[in-house]
Amino acid sequence: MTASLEFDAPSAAPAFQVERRFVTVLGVRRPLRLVRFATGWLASVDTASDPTIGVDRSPYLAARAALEPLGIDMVEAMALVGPINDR
Amino acid sequence: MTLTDAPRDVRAATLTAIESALAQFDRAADHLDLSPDSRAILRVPKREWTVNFPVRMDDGRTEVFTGYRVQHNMARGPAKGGIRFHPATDLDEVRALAMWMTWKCALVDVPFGGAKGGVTVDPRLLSAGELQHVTRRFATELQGVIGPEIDIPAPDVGTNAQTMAWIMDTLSMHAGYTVPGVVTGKPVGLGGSEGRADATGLGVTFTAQRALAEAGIDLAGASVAVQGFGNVGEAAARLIHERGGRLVAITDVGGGVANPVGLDPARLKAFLSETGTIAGAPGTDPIDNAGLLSLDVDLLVLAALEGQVTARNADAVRARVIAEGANGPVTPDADPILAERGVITVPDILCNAGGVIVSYFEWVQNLQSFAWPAEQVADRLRQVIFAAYDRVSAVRDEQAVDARLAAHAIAVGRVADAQRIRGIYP
Repeated sequence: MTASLEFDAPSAAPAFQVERRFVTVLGVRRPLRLVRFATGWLASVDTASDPTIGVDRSPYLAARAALEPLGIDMVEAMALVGPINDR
Repeated sequence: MTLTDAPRDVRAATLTAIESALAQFDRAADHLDLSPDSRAILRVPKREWTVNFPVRMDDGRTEVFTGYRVQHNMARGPAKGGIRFHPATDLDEVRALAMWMTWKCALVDVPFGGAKGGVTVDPRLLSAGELQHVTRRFATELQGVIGPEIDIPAPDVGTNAQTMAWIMDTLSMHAGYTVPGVVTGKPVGLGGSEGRADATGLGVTFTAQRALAEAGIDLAGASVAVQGFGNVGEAAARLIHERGGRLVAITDVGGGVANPVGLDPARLKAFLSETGTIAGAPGTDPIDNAGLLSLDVDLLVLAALEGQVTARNADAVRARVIAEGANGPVTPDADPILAERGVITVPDILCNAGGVIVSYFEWVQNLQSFAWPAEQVADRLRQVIFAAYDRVSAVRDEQAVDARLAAHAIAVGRVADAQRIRGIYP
């Protein structure tokens, strides 16, 4: 295996896209970070112990996995993520 | 259930059932941006069986029948789906119906996967004895395939509570003890649930009422046309009539009846039991399927078979709301035409889910050896189907999509999520 290190820099075609939503659970407002890569999405929410994580080709399934520890189901995740804009 | 559905030769389908099911799945998968792996798993059935079995007929002949059972997906629980006896049933149709069952169970959030079965036979041409022999032999062929923890059949087109009782008895004889949870839709005296017979029609009525309200129309006083007067159509017509809906036209396999002042479903049912069709009932005018589909009504209930409203005839539909009591009565190529004309469609996997919801209740009651009263069944059905209606409305509005896509996206998303969590064995 080989690996190399490159630093991301602003460009017209960024390697990833970051979006942020907010979810309020039991009165606590938490950011849901959605990071889009070429082949899918990474979603993460901070909890009292750890950040959660969800990774999938689908933004809704990624968000669902990240939100599951907070007791949020598939439909709520879909409504929370809302329409995804292609950029 | 009786065979009072539109016959296949009047169908004007531009897409077959399996083509429609796959087109709807692909649209939901595109919307969710499902991974190629998830698509590959969900696009095909998990298991399918074709069985050819001999039956001794009353005249001494031996006839060989062909039957099918398809289990589309079991990621969320045991498979669930009806068995139909129909002369046009084939493997592709059963595959489509099994896939729709997967989505339906996921949408209403009951812990089942999807399955369907059928025998290519016209039950009206068999004696009661022959029908029992076909049923019991088909059930025997499915031994090990169906069971309370594996796959639980229910009535569908051309089958009924008696058919389920024969299947339950056959598999119980083989097991050596009574296995009530192997099928649902049984007679109440054999562990069937109160309210199961009317469950699909009641769910159609509940969801149609909600959709009419969205259009600013009260069901009481609304004009209603119903295609199909079998188990679903008759129950829906009766329950809508009880709530003040004005039934202006109904069709069945033998023809149709119309009366702008209103039809009495109880009288039509009595006429049907005497003659085998509602066509020609006293005090009614004749109407055919094409005429019924083009009526200017508040609510059109499609409770016959799949492929009734297509791109070829969608332009003629003038109803404000369509309630899909049958599976796949509106083909995907007709959806945009109806949407453009402002027709509100209650998609089949939501509209006719009352049957599988109460089947789930029956399965739970059987596993617990306990029976709920009819009022409790109806109340829980209303809660479950209204919750599903609310979820579809929320996703439809949040994501600015039509109700069918919203329903399929929720269902496919849930199944894909369950599949992802379970992972791939080994």
